[in-house]
Amino acid sequence: MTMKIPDPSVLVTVTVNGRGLMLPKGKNLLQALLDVGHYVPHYCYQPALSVAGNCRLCLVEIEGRPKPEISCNMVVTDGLKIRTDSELIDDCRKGMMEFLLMNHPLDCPICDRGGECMLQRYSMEYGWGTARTVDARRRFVKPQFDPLIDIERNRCIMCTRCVRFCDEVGNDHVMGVFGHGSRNYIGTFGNGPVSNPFSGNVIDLCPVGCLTSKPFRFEARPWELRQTLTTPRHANGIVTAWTRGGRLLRVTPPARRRHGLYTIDEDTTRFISNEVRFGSLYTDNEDRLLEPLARGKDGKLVKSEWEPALDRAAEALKACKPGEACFIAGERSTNEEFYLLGRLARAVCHTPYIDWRGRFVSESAAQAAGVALSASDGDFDLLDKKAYQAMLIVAAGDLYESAPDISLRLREGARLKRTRLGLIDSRVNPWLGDLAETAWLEQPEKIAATLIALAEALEKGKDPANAPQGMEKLFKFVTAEHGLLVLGLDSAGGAIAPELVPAALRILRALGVGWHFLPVTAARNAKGGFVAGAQSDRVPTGRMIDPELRVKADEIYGSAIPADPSPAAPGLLEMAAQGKFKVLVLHRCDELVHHPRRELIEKAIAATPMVIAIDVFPSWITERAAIVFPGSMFMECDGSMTDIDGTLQRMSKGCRVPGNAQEEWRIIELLGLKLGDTRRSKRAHEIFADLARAWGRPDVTLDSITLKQPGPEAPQGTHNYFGVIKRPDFKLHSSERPELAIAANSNATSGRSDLLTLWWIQHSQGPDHLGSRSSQFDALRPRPRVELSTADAARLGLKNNDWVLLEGGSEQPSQVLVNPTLAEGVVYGAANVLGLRLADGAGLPHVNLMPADAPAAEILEQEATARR
Amino acid sequence: MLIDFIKGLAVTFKHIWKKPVTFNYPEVKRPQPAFYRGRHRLQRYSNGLERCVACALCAAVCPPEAIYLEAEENDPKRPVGAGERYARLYQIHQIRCIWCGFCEEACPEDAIVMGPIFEMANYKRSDFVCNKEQMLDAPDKGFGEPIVLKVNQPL
Repeated sequence: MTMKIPDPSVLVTVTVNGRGLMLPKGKNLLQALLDVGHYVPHYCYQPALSVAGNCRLCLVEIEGRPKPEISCNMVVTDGLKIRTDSELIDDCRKGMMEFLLMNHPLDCPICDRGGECMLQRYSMEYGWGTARTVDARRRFVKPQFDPLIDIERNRCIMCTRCVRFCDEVGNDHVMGVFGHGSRNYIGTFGNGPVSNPFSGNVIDLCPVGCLTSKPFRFEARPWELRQTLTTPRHANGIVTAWTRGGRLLRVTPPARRRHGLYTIDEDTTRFISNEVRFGSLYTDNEDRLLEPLARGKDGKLVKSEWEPALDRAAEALKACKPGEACFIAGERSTNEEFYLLGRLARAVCHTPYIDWRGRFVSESAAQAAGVALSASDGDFDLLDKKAYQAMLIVAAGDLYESAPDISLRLREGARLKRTRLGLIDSRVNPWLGDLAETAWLEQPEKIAATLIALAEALEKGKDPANAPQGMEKLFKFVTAEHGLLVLGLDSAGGAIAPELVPAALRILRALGVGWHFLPVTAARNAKGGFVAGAQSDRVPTGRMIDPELRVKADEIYGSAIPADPSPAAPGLLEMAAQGKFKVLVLHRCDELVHHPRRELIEKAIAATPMVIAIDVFPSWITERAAIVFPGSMFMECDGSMTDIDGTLQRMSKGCRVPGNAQEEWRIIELLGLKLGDTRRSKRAHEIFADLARAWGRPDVTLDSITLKQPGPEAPQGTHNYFGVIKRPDFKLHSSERPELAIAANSNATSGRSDLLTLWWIQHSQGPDHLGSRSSQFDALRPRPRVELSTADAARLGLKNNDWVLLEGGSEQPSQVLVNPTLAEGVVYGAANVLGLRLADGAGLPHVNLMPADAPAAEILEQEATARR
Repeated sequence: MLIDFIKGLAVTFKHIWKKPVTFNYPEVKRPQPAFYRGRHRLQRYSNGLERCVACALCAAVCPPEAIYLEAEENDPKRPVGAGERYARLYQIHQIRCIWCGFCEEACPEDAIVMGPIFEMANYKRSDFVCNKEQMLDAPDKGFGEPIVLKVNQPL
């Protein structure tokens, strides 16, 4: 199945400084020049944002026109003759630089941007060198407007990049230019904070030191920092981590190399969310595990040495008969850890019980997610290359809150006109909805039925006459030849996935091979768990475990695989709660700490005599474990992650593991050694090599996935150095759409009139196990809030900011927000913010909204001050 | 040959009556020239505030990387330095230092200068790491007024 990528535009000849260049016709002239390595200075032009044309620095002289013109607002046309190096242009640039610097303070020594500032650079390259102004410079009072972004208005040059970013990418329209003339200044409406979850990007976008990072304020000078290109463990995206003396100080989109030095890339198009940027700083948290802990005879957890703790763990595992040990791998494990855990469980401990899908609330949801991942063949790169004419997002709009980085990549496709956007969801947020060509609002239980109705119509043919009643627009949308179907797997913990996944597979069959499928989940390394062999029914190729494979498993693990089938993680926890296991190994199970089905997990831990936990932070799980091994944090561990579309991402080590902690893959190997395994790796590279061999791609090495640095010096102005990051061209999915037979959940479709269906997510900025450990997240933490549709709010007599209790869900009062784009009969909230508790995982929970008293004024005030 | 001896002795006798160029160190110390590059000093403003704003240009320019500093935000209510930031930690490793004076050249605030002190012998290697407290001038030895820019746009 090959995908046709649209042809690049026609190349035409443009004469630049007397030299002929072939540039794509109709493209932005400045961008075309930058792409071929012809650098033109610019401030306000940003490749991902609209053209503003107010810095006037990219002026070029055009033959036949009386005055120089800005190249950022011009398109490439045939026979264009321009000059970028004439005396007139030099003079213009000098004049512009002097004008921009007129009121700019000379405080470079105390400015955090000093050293990587475009104003410094351009004044060296194009400026005067001396100031001719004699009058006092304009000074503004310094305001406090955002808990994470520091503003120094005197330094602003009015490029309006931050304003355009908030308008276009963040879509919250909070920033603006106020005043006029020389009293122009940047600010937010109402002096409130920048509210979108990508607000940190304005720090990188600012070409001067006006907007700087508060957590990074005065921490270090940029030239003192060491850069590591890596990927975080708790969220998606490739980032540069900046360290000084082994301490992580800031996280930005990949740095740009220029003149042999790495600096922030202010022309980046790979924006990262605040969850990545500020959440990664959880490495500063001192409340981490640094010593192995073991439960003594008096029942207390005490510090231990590695040897006795490992011995005790190995003894317990050795004493297990086959099938008495259970391994649950956290979704944030690396591919290597998944592989080693699968190997430890299946080949060393001879137990089939290993799985990663702890996030899902029920066994059928987890199974459906596994099947969906096996059918996944969507590709973000193809989306970026305009290969998909249409993108239909089903039940995944809430990723904006649960996995903002995936959500942003999808939205950027629609925003930059790379694809058309259609939505089928129970809640359409304006962030996506504003760009959608068609949006279909439906109750969660009925989304699957909507898909089936569409599929049935499509099976009759793509003729518009076949469209179901009322769905003409949606039907027309899906008749595109090439498209991408994005399916959210973990809304409401996957409660509707058992119906949704078969329906999605059916509609995909009806849509034909031109449509790709991308199931998305906020689980960080979901695809890694699938392809590295940590899924109960898969070996490290993503291949299903069948009787034939059991015999051949020697090739993968060097030993046979146990014959029993294994349930997914929710099923394993149920089994553990019934006391079926003697040993339960929980590897980095962050998602279980704030799981709504906490009772089940508590029962499972209580019913298992020996619980071994590998983790970095103490939690209620590690407190109840018999043995705790301390693991490594972000930047302390080598390895690889698999993005949701199957792209491998390199996780690089940039700091030492402190204290007595160890890298996780080492802990698993040490445990294996005690149990008689012979595997002993010096580096994570060796484990990856085994994994690559199992994938049939021995040529792929850990170092070839992502070069540690962006490689050879990029030509000036070229920002798309992603070309040097080798993307292994192997697809980790089955070529045919699998058939799926999962018993539909009978509870899910029974609508009850007086109760509301609870449509919940896990908020990425809520009290989540990793990101929330960052002290910066105190300022970002969302408040307990539930959303109601306009009709329901009217029926229940509730209005905005009323306090309610979710009877049957949470004991914490939360505030009401009336959302007109929410399906009727649905209440929407974040489980980890509300402290949601579910008795069972059957279907969608139903709750009753009860009016509640507002919390005491002091508590609210405390929260408000923490947030400011 | 004898004449040569006499010539030589004549030079000796001539110098016996001259003032010696050597000093009776340590009882007598040679006066240092104003530009002498001895141990670093950190200067202050006349109001006693530190001049250093912890811009780290001295550390950046230092060829043997002998300077280490950490900045912190200045509390306007209890200011340490005159600027928005000041050096919470300022260390110079005296064994690493090659006394080139580049730090003095690089300093935009006239904060670090090389002083007259040249006696820096110590018994322990760790004692050669010179702290801010050791290098700072006495509070009453400051000079110059810090520039305070007035806000002319109250927004």
